Amino acid sequence: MSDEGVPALSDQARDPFRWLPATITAVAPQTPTGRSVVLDVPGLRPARAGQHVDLRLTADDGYQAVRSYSLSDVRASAGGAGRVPQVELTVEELPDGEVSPWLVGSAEVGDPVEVRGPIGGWFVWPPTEFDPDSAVHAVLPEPEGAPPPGRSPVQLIGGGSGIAPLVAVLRARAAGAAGAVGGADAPPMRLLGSVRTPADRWFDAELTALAAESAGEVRVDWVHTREAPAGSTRASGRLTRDELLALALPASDHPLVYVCGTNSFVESVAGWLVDAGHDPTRVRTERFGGV
Amino acid sequence: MAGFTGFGRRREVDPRLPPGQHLEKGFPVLSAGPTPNIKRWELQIGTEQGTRSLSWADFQALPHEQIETDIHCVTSWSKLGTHWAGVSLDTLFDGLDTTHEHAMTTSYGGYTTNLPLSELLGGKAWVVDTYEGEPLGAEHGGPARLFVPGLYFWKSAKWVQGIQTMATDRRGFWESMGYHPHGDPWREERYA
Repeated sequence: MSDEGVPALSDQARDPFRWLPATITAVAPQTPTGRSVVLDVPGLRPARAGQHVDLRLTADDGYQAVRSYSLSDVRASAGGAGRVPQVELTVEELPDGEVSPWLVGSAEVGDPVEVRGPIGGWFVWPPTEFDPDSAVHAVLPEPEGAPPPGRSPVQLIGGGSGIAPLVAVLRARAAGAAGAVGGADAPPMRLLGSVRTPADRWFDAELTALAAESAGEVRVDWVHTREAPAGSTRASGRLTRDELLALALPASDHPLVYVCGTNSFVESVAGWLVDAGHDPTRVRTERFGGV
Repeated sequence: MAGFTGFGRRREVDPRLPPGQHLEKGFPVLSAGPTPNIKRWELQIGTEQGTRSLSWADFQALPHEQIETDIHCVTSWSKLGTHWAGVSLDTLFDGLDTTHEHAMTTSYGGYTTNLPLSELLGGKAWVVDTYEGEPLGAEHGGPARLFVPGLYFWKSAKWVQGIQTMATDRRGFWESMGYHPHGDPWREERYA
């Protein structure tokens, strides 16, 4: 802001995808191998739940590395009231990774990084409202009998750290995102999370509370692939097709479905959903792989 | 920005990498939705002069070229020295004249991406059905995908169904979702 009373164009308004200096303001362990990292990013544009950012690290010798991370919290991304825009990333350490070991193992409050984004216009909630003249609308018609995308019930399905953008969606819903579709008018949502062990449940306590406070409108289910919780009637193991169809909203509800995880997880889940009658254009996917 | 956070170099730097890219040994998948179930494959090539429809057998009968090249994904990974085989778009458009300068690619599943025709003709683009000597897998766009290695890889539309020239440029699916209308990796045309 200039002192002359005329707001200066922010740097990001001139180039929305330039690199922005950011500062780590909080780190919190979430699982044995994962962490959430809160960043202050002055000049950031408001982010939508489901979006990601590119993060750049610079070494002493000038070497730089860039990776993409989903945002797990966008509620403070608009800043305001004297606060700079703030976002939270959720990061799983990859054994052969370049950036994730630093974020999970070394990064400290006060460390500088750079951020580009937010990025992504499809894997977002509230869902993109199509421009009726655009090519996208013409080729991805809404199924007959389906509620408008913003009013549709939402099924979130995440594998491992693929939970991250889905947590952003649940938090945005609870915060009353985007007026009409948030708050009391928010559609029902279910989250199905697949994790290795009970200790690998991301944001477990918060999600449990969020469901408890939702008057039955939010439900959270976990399946465990390697170690089941004590007393569980389900043995540990990968999510199966039958379990998915039992836990997910049925195709007849015309839910919007967001699936995020490794490619093999997403490929299995999305394939089962389509086979069970879900409209492929209502199944939005985000896949990660590689280091 | 000076680095003073203890972050150190962990990867080789290679002059074949465009700015902001890193080497990837695997082959990550980027798709907006489920892998489509293609029951009957047909490829449509269209200009204002007309449309050519090719069955799978028609397509297989066309001369296939071997391509060795690097690929660059907008999400910042690159693979070097990959091997592909497919039919040049010069062959697919042969005899279909056009004054148009733009094209829209349509894929099975409904997704679209727009490209300048100058990036599709002149030995720069193929429809490929083979990757590293094997039939192209469905999650990577098989049975056949567009292949435009000079641009970020989302322009290499998976599950290609049609390529239609157009008089004026329009944005496709990815481009209307925040990706750059052109996508040159050497200019870092990632987002717009």
